[in-house]
Amino acid sequence: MIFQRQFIVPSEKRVITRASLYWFLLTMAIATGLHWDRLPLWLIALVACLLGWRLYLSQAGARLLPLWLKTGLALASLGLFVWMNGRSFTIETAIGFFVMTYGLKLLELQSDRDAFLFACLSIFLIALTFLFGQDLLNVVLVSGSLLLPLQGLKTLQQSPGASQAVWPGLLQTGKMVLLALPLLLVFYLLFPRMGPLWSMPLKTRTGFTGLSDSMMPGEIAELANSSEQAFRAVFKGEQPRPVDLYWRALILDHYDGTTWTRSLFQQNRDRDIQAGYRQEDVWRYEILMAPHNHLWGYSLAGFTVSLGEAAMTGDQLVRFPYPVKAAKRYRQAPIPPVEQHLDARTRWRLVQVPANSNPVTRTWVAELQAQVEGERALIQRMLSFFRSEPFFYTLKPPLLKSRDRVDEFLFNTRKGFCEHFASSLAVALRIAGIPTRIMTGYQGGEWNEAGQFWSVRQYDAHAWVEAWIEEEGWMPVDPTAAVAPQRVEAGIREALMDNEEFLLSEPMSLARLSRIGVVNWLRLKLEYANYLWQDWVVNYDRGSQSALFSRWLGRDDLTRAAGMLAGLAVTVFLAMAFVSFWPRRHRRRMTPVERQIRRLERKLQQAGLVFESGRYTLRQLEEKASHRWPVKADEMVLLIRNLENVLYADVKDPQVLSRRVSRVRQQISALKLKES
Amino acid sequence: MVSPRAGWAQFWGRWLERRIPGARIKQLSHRDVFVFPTGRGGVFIALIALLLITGINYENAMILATGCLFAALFVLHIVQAYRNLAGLEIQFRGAEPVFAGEDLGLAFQLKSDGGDRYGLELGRLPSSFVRVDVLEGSATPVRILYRALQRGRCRPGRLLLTTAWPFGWVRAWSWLDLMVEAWVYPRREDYTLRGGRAQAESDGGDQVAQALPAAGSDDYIGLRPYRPGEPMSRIAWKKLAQSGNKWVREFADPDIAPDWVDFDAYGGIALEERLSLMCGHVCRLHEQRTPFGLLMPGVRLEPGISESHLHQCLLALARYGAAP
Repeated sequence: MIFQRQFIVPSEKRVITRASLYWFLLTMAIATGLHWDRLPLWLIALVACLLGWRLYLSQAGARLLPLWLKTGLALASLGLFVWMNGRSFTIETAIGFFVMTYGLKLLELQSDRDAFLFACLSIFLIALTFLFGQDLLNVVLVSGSLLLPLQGLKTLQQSPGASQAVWPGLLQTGKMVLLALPLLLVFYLLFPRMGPLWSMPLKTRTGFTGLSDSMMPGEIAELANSSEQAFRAVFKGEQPRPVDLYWRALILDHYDGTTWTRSLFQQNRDRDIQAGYRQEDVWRYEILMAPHNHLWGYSLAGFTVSLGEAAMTGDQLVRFPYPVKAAKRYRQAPIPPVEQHLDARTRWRLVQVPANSNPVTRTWVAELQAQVEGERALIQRMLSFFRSEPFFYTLKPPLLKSRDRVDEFLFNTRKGFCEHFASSLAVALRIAGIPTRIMTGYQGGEWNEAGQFWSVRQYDAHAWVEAWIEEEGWMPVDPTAAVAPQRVEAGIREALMDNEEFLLSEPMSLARLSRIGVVNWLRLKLEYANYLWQDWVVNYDRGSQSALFSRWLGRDDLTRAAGMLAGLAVTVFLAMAFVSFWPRRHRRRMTPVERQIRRLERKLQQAGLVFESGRYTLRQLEEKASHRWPVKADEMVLLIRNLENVLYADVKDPQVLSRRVSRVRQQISALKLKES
Repeated sequence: MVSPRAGWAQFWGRWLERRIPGARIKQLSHRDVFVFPTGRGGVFIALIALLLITGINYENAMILATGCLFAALFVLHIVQAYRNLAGLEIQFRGAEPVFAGEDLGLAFQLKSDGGDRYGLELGRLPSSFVRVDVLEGSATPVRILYRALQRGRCRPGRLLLTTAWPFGWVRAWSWLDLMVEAWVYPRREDYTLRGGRAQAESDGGDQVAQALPAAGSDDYIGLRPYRPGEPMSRIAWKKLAQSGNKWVREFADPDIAPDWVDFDAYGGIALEERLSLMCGHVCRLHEQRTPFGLLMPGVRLEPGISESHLHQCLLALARYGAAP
């Protein structure tokens, strides 16, 4: 009897109303729109066509497509998808496929049940936006968009006569979401954090930008075109000078004439993680890193990891045990300089350049070597060459076409950015027999006053040189600093601000518009808000959770946490249920006359007449008061008559009514009763 | 011996009878409302799980948070569905009697004294569900249809009042016994449609013939419009010549008019059939505007011609054999 199925409302096959359909169409437009920059153009066009077609159908009242046409269309789209994407299968193509099937679902969106499934798909697609960024902007966009499928689901439950107003409906849904927020917070804080359950086969194609582990000076004429965040650094104590911020990430030690790469030898060294020393309370700076799907992290020279999942390699580089897919945090502390060695084999490897290449450079190096003694002096001479000759720092250098690229750059084009300078200096040093390697990473950063942190972006990416000095060890040398000192002193933004070439691909980027005072202020504030968001909410991981648990529970224990989660959920639920069981109070508002009667009663009570409010009728009140204050009897009679006049005479005209009420109000105010 | 299925239904029926006893006006409280996730709720839980797993595997805190958000909404939905029913006042307002085989229109009234209630569904059989919103302070009438199959007192039994507001993941419902009761007239059957069956099969052929509306008397009472098939002799030819329309002279016969529909005149026919024939007879007489009376065992309704008289007669037929 309780679950008699045949009595449950058969809504499954019910055709949805037009108002519902419009909500779902809007949902689809928004959900697809959120992914516009990773969907191929033809797919967006297909979705737009499907949307328009469905809209036309509902307007014209035409019937849906027959089965054979639907199947044909689905197969054709599938064929097109395979043809356009080939065999590559990344997150982007997966989302494309999802969007396509989702769009085709529109062809048969007709019944209640279709609509429900459609809403579920929409919610999932909207949530997937977070795979490509979890900053505040995305959070606002996604939470706003999620209201739409919810509103669509709500229209499915509406009765036929219900109001179809857009904003009240959305407002109501929004209120429900707001009501759910406290519980969401509880769930989010207590949901057990764990590593990935299995490795995800889908990798993103363009989701992460950043450094790459090879460098081809002269072949890439585009760089510094992303204002995306790479990481943020918070320094304890005195703030460093930007000039000192050389964030090391990768060592490129093999040069084949065009490209610098990591040799197999170097790759092995990078994998060889040495247990650093761990001491949580000793640190100089903390890094909050954006995910980049690689193993490397960033560190200044002479520092080691003191807290976090990262560790150090023998070359003092930060490495993670697995690709970084979520924001990561680690702290670093200075270590005393360690004695460095260079075995003969490595020394040989690090002076290798392709034989018989760059003859002009070779002669030039030989001339310099003849003039000076010692590695340091040689390096100084080379840097002064960069300083004195007309080298030009630009992000749009001419391509280097000849086989002897270093010759061409040093003595011909002389226009380039850090990669060109670092590469040519490294080749020259290697020709001189000094073991040399290319360092890539980031240089500088932008100081955020509000948040007291350094913000390092993709356009801060940099390459420089480390040369081996006998008896001393590795010495960083930055030829770019010699050519364009403002690049390292004030950052690339300042160095290129008047230049059209900065952030070409992001014409509306706030960083590009930072010359406008308000924009810059806003940009820094937004960045700070995002930093706090990342730091407190997104980066709430296993570590922060166990810290929280230890603070609350005394120790970090998953079963206890689970128990607590259950307990808390039950408590919240019971609280809500209790509120519901509590009889709803009769919250009828008093009419103006009733309010005046209350006022009169209170006045009499204050003057010393003892009685319960609402106990006496008006006539009884009049009698009591006249008895108590005989002088006021006439006034009371008049007052009560007037009250009765408003209360019982059936006055329809609101103006007349309010006039009478205000007369009564004045009379009550004028009533002066002496306490006796 | 009762089959386990029937026994189970009986058990629940008794349990429900104890838990939600019948009442004419019912204000729903926590005792009356059941809440359970729907099938769609199950699908939605799967979606939440998918979001959580995606969040974990891609180490994506915000997807995880989205999963948590919908889990929280789901929990909230349980309370909201319950609150949508609790405190609601519902009352049966009666039903117009109908002939057996037709749809009874059962009228109800819903009232809410706290908060607006949306998407309430009330019904008995799957096809009869009606969806309404009940706004605070206003009495909302609801009419649901119920096919009355049998003559006599119709008691549809418990009704289902349910809601899956707002998102359809959780359903709150209540089985209410609002003492719904309506009278159903016999199925109307006109003997003319059944040819001479009554005469051929029964001994009371003469009586049936006797019970037929008799015509052909001399007591003229007036004119009325002509109906096809009436004897030529009755047509008022003068009137036809004057107005161009056919009119029929009507006569009142002191012996057989007012006409009587007599229970005993239909002897030898099975009871329901008998009542159906009587019902047809009554209706026909009413349509012909012939005054008639009704004779039933223990019931005698004096001749009349009004609508209310017709209903009284039909009601008497409906009530025949039923406990008072």
